[in-house]
Amino acid sequence: MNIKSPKQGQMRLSDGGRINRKNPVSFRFDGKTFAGFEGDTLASALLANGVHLVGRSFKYHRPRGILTAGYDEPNALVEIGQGNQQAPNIRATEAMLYDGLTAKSQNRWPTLGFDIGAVNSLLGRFFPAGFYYKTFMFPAVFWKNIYEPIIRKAAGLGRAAKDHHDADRYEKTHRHTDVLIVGGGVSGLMAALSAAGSGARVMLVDDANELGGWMLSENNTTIDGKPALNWIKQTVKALEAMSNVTILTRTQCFGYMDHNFLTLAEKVTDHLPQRPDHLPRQRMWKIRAKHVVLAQGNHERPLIFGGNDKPGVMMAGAVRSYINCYAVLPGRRAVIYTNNDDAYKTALLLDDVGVKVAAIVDQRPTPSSVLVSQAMARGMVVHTGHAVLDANGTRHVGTLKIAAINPKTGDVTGQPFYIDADLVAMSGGFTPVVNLHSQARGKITWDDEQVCFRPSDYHEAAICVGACNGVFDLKGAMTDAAVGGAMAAMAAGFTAEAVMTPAVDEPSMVMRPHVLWKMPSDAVKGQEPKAFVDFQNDVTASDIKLAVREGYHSVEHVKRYTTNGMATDQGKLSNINALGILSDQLGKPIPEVGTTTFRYPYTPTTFGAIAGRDIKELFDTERLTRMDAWHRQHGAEFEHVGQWMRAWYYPIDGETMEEAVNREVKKTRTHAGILDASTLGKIDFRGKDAGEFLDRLYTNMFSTLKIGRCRYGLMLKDDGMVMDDGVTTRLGENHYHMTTTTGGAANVLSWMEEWLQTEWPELDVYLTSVTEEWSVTTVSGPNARKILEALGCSVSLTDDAFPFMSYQDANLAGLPVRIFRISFTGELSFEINIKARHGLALWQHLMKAGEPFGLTPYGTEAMHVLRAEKGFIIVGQETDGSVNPHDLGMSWIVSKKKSDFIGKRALERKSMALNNRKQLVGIKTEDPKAIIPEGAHAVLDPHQSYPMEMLGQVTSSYYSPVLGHSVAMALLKGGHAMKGQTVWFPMINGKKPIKAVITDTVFYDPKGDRING
Amino acid sequence: MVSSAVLPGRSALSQVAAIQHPVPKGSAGKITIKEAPFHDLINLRCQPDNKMANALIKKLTSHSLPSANQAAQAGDRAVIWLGPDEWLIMAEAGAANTIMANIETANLGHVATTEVSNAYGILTVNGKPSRQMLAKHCAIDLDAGVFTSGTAVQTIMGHAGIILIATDENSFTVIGRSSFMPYLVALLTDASIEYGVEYRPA
Repeated sequence: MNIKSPKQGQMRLSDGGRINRKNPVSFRFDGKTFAGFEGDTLASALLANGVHLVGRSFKYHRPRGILTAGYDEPNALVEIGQGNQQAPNIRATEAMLYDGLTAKSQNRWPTLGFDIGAVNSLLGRFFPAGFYYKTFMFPAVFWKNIYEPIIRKAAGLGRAAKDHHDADRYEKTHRHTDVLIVGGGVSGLMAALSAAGSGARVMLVDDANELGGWMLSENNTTIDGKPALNWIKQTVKALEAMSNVTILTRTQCFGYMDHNFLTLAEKVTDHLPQRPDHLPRQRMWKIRAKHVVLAQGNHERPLIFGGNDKPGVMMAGAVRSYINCYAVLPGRRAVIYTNNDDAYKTALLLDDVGVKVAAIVDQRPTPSSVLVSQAMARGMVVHTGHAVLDANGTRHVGTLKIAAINPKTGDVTGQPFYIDADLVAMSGGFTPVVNLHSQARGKITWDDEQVCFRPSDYHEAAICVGACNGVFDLKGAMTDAAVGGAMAAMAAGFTAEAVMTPAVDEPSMVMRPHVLWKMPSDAVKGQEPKAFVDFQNDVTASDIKLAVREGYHSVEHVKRYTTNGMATDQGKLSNINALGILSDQLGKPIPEVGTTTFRYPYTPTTFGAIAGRDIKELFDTERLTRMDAWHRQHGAEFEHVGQWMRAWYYPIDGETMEEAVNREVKKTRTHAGILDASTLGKIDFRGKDAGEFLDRLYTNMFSTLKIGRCRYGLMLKDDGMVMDDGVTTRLGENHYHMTTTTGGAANVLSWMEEWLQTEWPELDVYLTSVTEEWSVTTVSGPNARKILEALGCSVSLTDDAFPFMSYQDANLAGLPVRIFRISFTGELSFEINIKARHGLALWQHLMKAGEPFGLTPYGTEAMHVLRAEKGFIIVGQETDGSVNPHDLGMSWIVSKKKSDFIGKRALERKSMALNNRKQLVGIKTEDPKAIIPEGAHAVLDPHQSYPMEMLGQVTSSYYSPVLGHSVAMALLKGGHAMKGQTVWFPMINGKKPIKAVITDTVFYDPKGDRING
Repeated sequence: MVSSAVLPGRSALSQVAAIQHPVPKGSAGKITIKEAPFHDLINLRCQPDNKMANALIKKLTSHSLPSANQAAQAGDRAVIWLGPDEWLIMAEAGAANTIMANIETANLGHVATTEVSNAYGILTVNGKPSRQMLAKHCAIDLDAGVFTSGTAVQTIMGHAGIILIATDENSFTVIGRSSFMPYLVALLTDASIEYGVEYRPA
């Protein structure tokens, strides 16, 4: 990118921070060029340049700034990148800055500063909770054409890239670990030390660019007598040196499923100016952990007051992050608004770096701790027992309205007064991050002492430690984590010991917030200023109150009605405040109100990472036969059959599909056709009980089959419905060869193994799939025998020597083959199995030898026509799991002699033979050229009123070039008794119904003379 | 019947050309993938406690039937555990008929052999980051301390069922059904782009 080095921002401190000042970088935001440093986030770099206004809110298009310094950010969502690398809704607080980064604000038009949609804010009174549900109800016809398009246009924040061909690469990977530690703050590090010391495989993952968590933002804490940062550095170094520890940074754990299966999203190259081609932009890790340690810390809660969403209002902890980690001043004149001691640290730090602390507004009547005293000693004005009522300012906070309150009720008791400020650092208490714990069905309990939920019972093998476990003081959290890490390693089967907690010195303080669930306000009831609970969804305190007034008392209902805690927030910032308001409105304590379930994903994750490499040619496998190259060379069109690619038809000289198929069918009937049938399932049966087993599987007998003979069989599910069919051949006394449908092969094998292993373990039968051992070529047609003879066949192929439905080993063109004389076309036909490595060679030999005999390759489409002319069924086409052998007119194949077979009992129920079941019949159209679409429904009277009484549907339908008319099969109610009757097939789109007559299913060569050539 | 192996033929991957991706800076090591065609393969079904069968297999392959998730190799021949009563015998080209005849005629009880030499393709995968690379599409624990040399599993690689065998710390054998082999080569070479890779047809 060709940008002149702009000047570093005026809000950058001259030293400090964890940025690399040696590497200044340029970036663009909304078309303007700015400067920052490597190590900045986009948010810190914008703040360094005094840019607070970074987006417009979802519903009201209110100006929004940067609220937090991490992945909990609800406001600062931007588009990053250009062209086919553009990604929407990236949290500016997470996006690492690089040279040339280009970002845009979202949800504004025409510009961020002047946004037309902001009129929604003025009309806010008309957009209450449940607005959509209430407004867009009637009339129903308006929904599709008017309401939905408007809502769709208004909904959503960022835009997906216009170029849908994402230029980035994404990958997935799997990892097993003994202990997974989520969160690399001080607690996570302690847990890792304890767990790793045991020799267990430990993974430590953190969403941030470096380990250390919140401690990186603190400046007044020592561990082991040295600044906490030294301890972090040392500890990280020690962990990195251990071969059993894997550390992942910029990696967010976003899902926690059953059996300790967790998903992580690692940003591999998001932070690089040039993303190398060989690396994925993001990588999704699928982790299987023996034990999980959740050390995710806590989220600071916002305080609820009018205008709490204005740019310049920030979380107090985030203010410390921007100063300590990025050397950035988020403002010049600050007001601290708090209900606990923690924000006093922010006040002191602001004072340290020269920011005027105009006032500290503390809701507590009598705060007393070292920190409070320190602030007072520095001359800061502390308004105890006060609240901020409203924040004014158009695009940035400017003036705060403050008043004394009754600390118990929150009622305003004093005269309001005003203080100017361009920064409000607020702290409403702390929420342990129980989200993943809850996702994994862990239970949480309300801690009245600390005013938060904390984990109680675990569903998975897991433990929460540190602040995540409601232990907020540093020493306590470190000890809790050290013990937790050791326990996790022990639970994973290792001998572990908790590492000693080092000496810790941090300011002593009261973390317990003094909570007022009722928002202090002096406004007339119903005209309170907008005070946001869920910033991302623009849910205000009034919305929640309205929901309660309208009768939504269940927390789950309130969530859905107001959308609080939905979308990216998932309750991170909003959950407790919303529950507090709800509990106040309902007059019930929070534990009785309950909480909503925290859902997957914990943070938004790109579809790219979830898809990984399962895209384009790797989306699924394409299984190829050994003759595939020949089919391609000869211009075949292909169709997917299961995962197989099968030659569909072979057009010559620009033939249409219809022309090609007609030619292939005719040529097969008049001369000979050759088909690649390699994909048929083939299973080798071995053992003394093979015949008995086949008798139990099929409806007909196989144990009586003579060696060297073949038999067609129908296999039923235990419900009596047809499951698969195929020809099985007896190769030896205890040796059979079964063929199945192409698509059914794997299922049939599993099905049979299940019966053998679970029901009939006493049967001595072994099954082995040989589908791919053999390539199968079928030569069919009156010239079939001559072609094989011309090629040089070691056995006699005459009817006497090689009768229909028999098998022989032979040599063909010098190659060893198994020849089966079976037919799916009704013609004289030989199915030749050859070891697959010779499949192509044999095919080529046959093509050559067949040339003088008019041998024509035909694809699956011609195969379908040929078999349909003969009325042969295809399982899955004529059947759909609700069709039994009687329905197919195949009662002849159901043995009456056998004592049992799978499906026999079901098949013997009266209902299975009722005459009004859908039964397979042939359909012949009056107009020989009319081809009924497959799936078309049959009726007796096409002029009856809707809904018509339907008889059934067409299952197969083709044009028969040999017969000169179309042929079709259909499943019709009581069809077997209706032969000769007229039926109609109404068409859609104003086409005339097709008239047809019900016939037998065999259209061609009903006597079966052609089978012998 | 003549053993088909003595005649020339085409392997499962004969239509797949060589593939190469350069070794990028910072690579953990280059991956080499090769086809190892025309081994004879026999599927053996047998009860694991069949003493006579164990003795005969030992005579034929130098190893008795390996236990769960193990492969035993000696010279050209190997026995790979596939299931509680199923093994795969790998042998030099042309050996299948003799081995099968030996087993079938030995009166071992309920034992079956089926030749599957053509049903599978075989790849060898070598290179320092082999485990990392394979883990991209395989959910099995491939840690060097767990999936030790001689470990053999039936698992899923991407969308294809495979038999995966660790032959040493950085080397693996991947056996897949023939029709899946072009997909497997595409999948594994793609997963190796991060390290640099060469696929060499036989």
